[in-house]
Amino acid sequence: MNKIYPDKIYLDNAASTKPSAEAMEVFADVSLNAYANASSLHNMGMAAEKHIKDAKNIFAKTLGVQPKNILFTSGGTESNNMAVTGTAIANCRRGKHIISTAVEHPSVLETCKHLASIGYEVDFLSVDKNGSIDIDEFCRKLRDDTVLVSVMHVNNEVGTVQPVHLLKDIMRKKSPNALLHTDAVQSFGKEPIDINAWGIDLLSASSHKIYSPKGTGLLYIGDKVKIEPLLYGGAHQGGLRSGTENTAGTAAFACSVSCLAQESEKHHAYVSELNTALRRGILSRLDRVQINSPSDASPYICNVSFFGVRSEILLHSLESKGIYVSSGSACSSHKSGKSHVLAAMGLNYDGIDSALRFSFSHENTLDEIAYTVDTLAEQVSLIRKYTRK
Amino acid sequence: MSKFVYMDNSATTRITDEVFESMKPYLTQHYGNPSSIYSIGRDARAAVDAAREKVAKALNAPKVNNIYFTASGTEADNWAIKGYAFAHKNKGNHIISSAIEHHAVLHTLQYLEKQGFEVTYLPVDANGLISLDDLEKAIKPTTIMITIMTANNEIGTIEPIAEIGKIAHDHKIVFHTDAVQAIGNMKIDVQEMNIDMLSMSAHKIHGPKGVGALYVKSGIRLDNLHHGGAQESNKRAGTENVAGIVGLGTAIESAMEHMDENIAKMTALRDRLIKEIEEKIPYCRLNGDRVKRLPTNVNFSFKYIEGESILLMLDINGIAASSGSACTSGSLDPSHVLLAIGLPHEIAHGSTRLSLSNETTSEDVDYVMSVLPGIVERLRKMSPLYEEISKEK
Repeated sequence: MNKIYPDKIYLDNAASTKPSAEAMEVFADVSLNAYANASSLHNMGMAAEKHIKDAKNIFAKTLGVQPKNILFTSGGTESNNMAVTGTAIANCRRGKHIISTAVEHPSVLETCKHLASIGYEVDFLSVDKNGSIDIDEFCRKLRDDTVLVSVMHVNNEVGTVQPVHLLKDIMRKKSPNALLHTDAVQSFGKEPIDINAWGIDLLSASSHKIYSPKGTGLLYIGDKVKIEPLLYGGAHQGGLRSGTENTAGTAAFACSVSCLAQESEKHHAYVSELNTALRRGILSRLDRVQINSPSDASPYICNVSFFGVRSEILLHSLESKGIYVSSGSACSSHKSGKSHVLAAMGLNYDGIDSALRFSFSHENTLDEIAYTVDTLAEQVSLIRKYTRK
Repeated sequence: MSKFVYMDNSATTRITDEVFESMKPYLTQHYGNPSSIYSIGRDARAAVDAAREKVAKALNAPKVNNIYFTASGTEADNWAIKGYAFAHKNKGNHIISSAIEHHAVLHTLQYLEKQGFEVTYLPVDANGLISLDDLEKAIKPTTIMITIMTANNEIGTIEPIAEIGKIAHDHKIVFHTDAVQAIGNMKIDVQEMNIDMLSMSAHKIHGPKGVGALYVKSGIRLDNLHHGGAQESNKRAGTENVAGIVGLGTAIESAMEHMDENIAKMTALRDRLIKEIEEKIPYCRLNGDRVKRLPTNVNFSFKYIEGESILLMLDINGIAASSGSACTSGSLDPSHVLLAIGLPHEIAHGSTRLSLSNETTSEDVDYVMSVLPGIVERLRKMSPLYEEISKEK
């Protein structure tokens, strides 16, 4: 390749991904040809409904659960809101204590804060410098009246994998009635998840993080889970989530997950190579940097601080070279506050203010990573020259 | 003669090629997260804002920022009603609605009743119209909100929205309307019609499923339904469904551009369908108001037979129609709307909705009329009830 600037190096796959050709084909086909309302009784309605049923079967098979346990929503945020609020309210007679973590996505964090404002008690677990919760602290916080534990699987800013698989055993001893929810938006289709072995009661996932169009999400709801709907109306999806089904979005989401299911190990290994190349490149070529993602984080995310360089300045200079990354998470980009995740991990102001998130897909290449490292080396030293005190 | 006729446009409409083409670039090129601060994200953000402008213009909203995107009309209804009720529960706990609302409103209100709110469901007359006198009388010092649909989804009756809004404002009460069926099929002006909040959905106007919008007049405070990221001015968390929102923008712009001609065309087809059914099929009853009626709606009760049987027969003949609304079509209960307009159970069961769109053609109406009278006749021959009636004659 003689090109000086490649077209576009998209390293912000944790914010959103490009829909795959397969998912797009399904999306277009269902949008244009199966447009009837899935609740309609005529042939066309049944054809639309079949897409929803097929999608449920695919997700159920992938997750090792029953189709009736799958609820489709408009996205990860709705799934998280419903999981947290819906179970807290439905089980409020048992107790009003919730445990979550300091590093959750805003859709869990803000929902918990809202519940705290209407009479619930929420404990947010602290994390260590790797972004991991402490199992001992978790044990201590569990109570008789704990109704919900919501701990994300993979953190969206740094990629830390929480020990979700260890939680239920401890809960069974100390708070047998408490439900376990995990926000798996960043891990679904990427990292191994075992709902049955881990004792997960509720799990959230989102379509647009796995190469499908935006606007669809899912919530796994275990058999014995008492939950209230967020949306009332035509009693779609067993009355749990009213609103005409987004047939095309749902079918495309299912297409993505079935494509990924066959390739997930291969992709995981490949993305690990990309991640390692980026880490090594940055550490060998740049000084005053710090990799904030722990070494055992999900390889799909790598968070790095470039001390002395404000992240937004570096982000825009990378953009001018065709590289797209993010500072913190996309969702909080418009909030004035700095990353609550990095703060919880104990980073100082400079570390937080200079952090960038690189997030990969299996479509990225080692060449792209090499170019990114070259560009970082060049741009960081340039910016540091200008900002030197 | 056509073999396939889609007459279930109140359930959902076909997404047009124009709409789908407009969405495509936001799926394959500008796929960034609109909250991202770099250019792929900014392209997506600009597209969302452009769509917001189109929706604001269509409703004559004072400000572009009065429009919030949601995932459906149902979500818009839930958010407006719960969000306003919970944010103003210290002011009062009484809400006024009507007996014929869509379930997205009715079931939300029933939920609020469990939470300690009091709801008055205004009755409707034989044509499905509420009475403004009843509304005035129902208002109490504790009334905080009136929510009455612009036009009914089953029988097409158009409520006196501007007058309802005027009464609400005279009493300093907030007025919300579910305009999911009305958008594109009649002129809506939130300022002229005294509307404070309005719900709509994309897939009823040839847009994609999974997108809706809520108009909220400036200064009205709502509790959030979805907590999380700072999207939609901090009021509706969740990554924006960019392509879907773009599709809504295209659909509403096109609907507005062609509204007058569409209404004229659909009204003519609707009236011909009504006239021919009344001429050719005995013992039928048109449900809903003849004049204050959506140009898209034809709803008939055919006495002595089941609506479901008619549907099935129509379906076999390539005509997609509906009994009542799509959302409740799986249920055996008679339509709450038909019961509210005073139909006895057995007649409410025998109703069929044929709903039109601007894509419906004169040939479609011809085809329906070539099939429907025969279907009704055959089904009636099998009906013991009809046999008795015929003998009596």
